[in-house]
Amino acid sequence: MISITGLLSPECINLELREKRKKRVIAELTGLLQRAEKVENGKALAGKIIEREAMASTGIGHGIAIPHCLTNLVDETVMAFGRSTNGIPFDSADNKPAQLIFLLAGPQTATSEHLKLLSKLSRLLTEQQFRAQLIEAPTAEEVIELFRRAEEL
Amino acid sequence: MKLVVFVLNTEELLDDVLAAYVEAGISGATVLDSEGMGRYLSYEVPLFADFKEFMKGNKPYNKTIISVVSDEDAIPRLQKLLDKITGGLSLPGTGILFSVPVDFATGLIDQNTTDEGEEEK
Repeated sequence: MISITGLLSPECINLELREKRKKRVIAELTGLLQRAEKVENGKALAGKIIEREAMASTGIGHGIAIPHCLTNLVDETVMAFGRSTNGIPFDSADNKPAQLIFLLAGPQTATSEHLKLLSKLSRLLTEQQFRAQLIEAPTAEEVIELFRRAEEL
Repeated sequence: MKLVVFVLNTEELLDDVLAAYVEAGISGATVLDSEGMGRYLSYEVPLFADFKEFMKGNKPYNKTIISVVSDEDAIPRLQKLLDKITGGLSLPGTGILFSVPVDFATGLIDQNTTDEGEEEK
């Protein structure tokens, strides 16, 4: 199974998101993926993810959102991470703004892998201490290191 | 003594399935309303809402029949009957039948006893 550590790369991590609104944040994160040449059309991917968000918000509470989709726009699973100090209104289950936003896109046929990744990510993020460490992490490399350690357990 | 568990995916077959239990010699069972993990995740957990698409064709709800069986010979008889009713349990989406050993049970009805409390001849 693909590890979250393996999916994260420093160029697809933004520890201070510029945008303040959900749709724009999604586009900001897909823009990171496009600049890192992990997706050809970041705008189209943002559209797919926003379409998915309309079905039900992926703001799972505790300041976390995991916008995602399965799409033919990617050949392999890609991930971007954005952090917002003040939080982004994300229609979350607990009405709290999302501070930690993980954007995930997988190939249309990778259903099982996508489900496993979503489950793993949401499980890791239920740990309050882990979330606090992500909020405090000074660099993108430190974020990846935190995931590496968490996935080793 | 075994605990026999049968998850029946096609609820419409419940009458026939329970008749099969009786025919196989299992006269007592508990029927529970149940639902598949896929349905619960995709309909009740927003993070997985987009997987409704992959639920298509699957039965969202099912019945789970549990029974403590003293006469273990009844289990292969039951399996044969359930295969006929469901079209074959080896086919995906029909149901799951399994048994586990029971080391203690009380409160069971003696399956060799009639309603009148007399031993069957």
